[in-house]
Amino acid sequence: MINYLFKNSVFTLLLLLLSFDCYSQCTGCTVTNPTSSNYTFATNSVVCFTTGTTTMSDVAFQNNSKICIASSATLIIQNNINSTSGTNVTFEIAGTLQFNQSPNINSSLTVNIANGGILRAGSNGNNNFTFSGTNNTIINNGTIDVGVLGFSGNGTNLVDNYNLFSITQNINISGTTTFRNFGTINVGASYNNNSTSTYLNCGTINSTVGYNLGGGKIMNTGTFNVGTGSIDMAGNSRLENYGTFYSKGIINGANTSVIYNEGLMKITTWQPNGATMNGPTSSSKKGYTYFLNTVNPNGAKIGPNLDLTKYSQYEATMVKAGTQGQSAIFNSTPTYINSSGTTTTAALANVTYDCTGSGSCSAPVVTVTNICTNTDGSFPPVANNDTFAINAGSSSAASVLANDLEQYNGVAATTSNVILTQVSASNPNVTLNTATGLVQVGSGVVSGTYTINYQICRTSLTSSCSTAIVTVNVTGVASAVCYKPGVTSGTSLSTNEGITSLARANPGDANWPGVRKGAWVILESKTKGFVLNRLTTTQVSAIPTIDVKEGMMVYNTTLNCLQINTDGTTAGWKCFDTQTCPD
Amino acid sequence: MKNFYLLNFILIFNMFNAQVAIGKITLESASSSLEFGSENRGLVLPWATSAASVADVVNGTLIFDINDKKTKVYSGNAWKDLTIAINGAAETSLQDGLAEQTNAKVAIGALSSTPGILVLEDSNKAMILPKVASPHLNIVAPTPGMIVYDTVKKMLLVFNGTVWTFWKAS
Repeated sequence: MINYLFKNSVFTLLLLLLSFDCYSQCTGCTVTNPTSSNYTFATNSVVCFTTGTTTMSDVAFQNNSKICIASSATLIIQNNINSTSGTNVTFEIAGTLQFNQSPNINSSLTVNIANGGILRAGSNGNNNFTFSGTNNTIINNGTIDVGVLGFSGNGTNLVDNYNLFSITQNINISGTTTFRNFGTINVGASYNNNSTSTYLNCGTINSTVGYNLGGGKIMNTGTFNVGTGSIDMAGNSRLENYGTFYSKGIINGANTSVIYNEGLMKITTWQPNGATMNGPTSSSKKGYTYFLNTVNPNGAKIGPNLDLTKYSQYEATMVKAGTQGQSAIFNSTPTYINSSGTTTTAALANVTYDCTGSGSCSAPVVTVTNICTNTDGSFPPVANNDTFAINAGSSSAASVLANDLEQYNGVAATTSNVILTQVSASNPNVTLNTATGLVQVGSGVVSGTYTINYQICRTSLTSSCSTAIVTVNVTGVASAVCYKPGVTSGTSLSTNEGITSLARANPGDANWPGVRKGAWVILESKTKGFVLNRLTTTQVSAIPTIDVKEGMMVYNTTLNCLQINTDGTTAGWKCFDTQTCPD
Repeated sequence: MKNFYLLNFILIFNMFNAQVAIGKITLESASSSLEFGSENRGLVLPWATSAASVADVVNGTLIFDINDKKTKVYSGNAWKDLTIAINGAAETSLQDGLAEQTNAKVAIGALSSTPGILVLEDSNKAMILPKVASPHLNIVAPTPGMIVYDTVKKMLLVFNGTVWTFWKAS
């Protein structure tokens, strides 16, 4: 259901609304508004809280139980929670679910929080919440407030945050855990990750202090702010930045850790310890990295396609250091590498120092927006808008895929590596041929500008999609419809004949019909029309060929149309049903 | 030629083989009910109070509806708008205060009960529209409700008092 690339805010809103609908409705309730102080959410039950505030003391969750809290309802669980490892429990929260203690739930949890819904540990949101079940899924469109967030099972955990996830203390992780953040995650203390921890951020993550990446991975396509603590990149820790990454503390690298930057990184202190800092493989892009403190490279491998700039302060305003260059940033020469990882020179690695100062940047600063990675860390396809000028009855010269990519930073999109679909079209005769990617314009289409919305999804990951708009300027056919003002200058011709059903007192009235201009005859009646000859198609055909004249008009009772002869031949009878323009 | 008919009666032109030509002497076609001359003139349809005011209307009836200032044809048992544009204008004071003679009718061809101020009765004839080259350029001060055939573009033109609307063969 979720597409990962939000091309515009309308689309985002639509997804949020869909999510809201999915999670806010309590259907199939087997129990509604229970009031017992100690309560067991029984096996396979759907327990719904639809209104008011319900307070329970001790609760037990049995397998496949589901709690559903409507938007106007609150459930407070005051004391103990009993749940069993290996069971599955679902929370559907559109209202508020509050645990007054620090919940530690052994069941595998599925938590869906709707927009406006709240999940809270502790009355002030500062208590710990531990997911001890094997596999947990949290989809948050509302608000989650916890103290320490813990995942202690050894299975798979997925957190999709679309709104606000507030963790006032640490995050402790085991198992394979993926955070995808489309909204805002605030973390008050450090977090401890492992090699299978992944943070995919296209929203904003604000981390008050640092964290131990522990061999895990961060992909930032949004804004990632880290406070004054250390970011420890042990083992194979990998930090990929395509957006804006700001570290106020120390980044401690390791020999096998990698920072990949093609966006903008503001680093205060870097201790590489042999770490690698890569830029984009192509010089058509460049990663911009700022440093506040001088770096001891200590075996650091730098390149390719990076620009390194020294700053003297980041806050309150950014102030660039007066002296730039390698020696301003490194206290000894680092190892420059090219895109193959081979040692080379700074020039060949296209590693520059403050290229903006010398106006010699091979590519500008680009911080991506609106691109969110998939759960597997891969990028969605990139569909770019197209504009074509096409004659009516023709097709575009190029495919809409010509400027699209199978993935961001990936290969060109083709009809084999992406699935192309037409989402909508403003004119049913201006369409996308999804087999070829060409835009087709029907022969009857009038001049004008039309649009087609299309979507491409990766063939290898069909849930990974992107949309774009094709603007089609149709040319070559005159505008179908126009209006022309009547001519007022020149000598007008008075009308000499009138047929009227009105009781005109004076037939010699100089005002009528002479006042009406430009007519052979004026018909006048308030309740009667002018009735044409009414002929069937057979009767029209029976008019002798020699008598058929251009401009003859009948009402054809077979075809139910005004039928006018256009050329004085029997073949020239046409229904005049199409509004047009003489231009 | 200046003919003016005040119709307090039913006028029937030439009961058999009825044909009327206005503005010329020689008929162009032996199968025409109504023909016109070659000046830059059109035909002005009756200004009906509204489409709804036309009683017992039959398919093939043309009016200019002064309620919305649109030329309309009763086609397929419904009024069809031939003007489309909504900027019509017509100064109706000359007819507003006058009473209608409800039994008035001019028929060309064998008289029937079909209502209309002018009814072309024959089913083996057709009228020939007033034919003008580029009427929208050449008819000066056209009257609202006018219809005319454009011999250059082979179009039917209707005028709403402000603009011409153009129709072609579909």
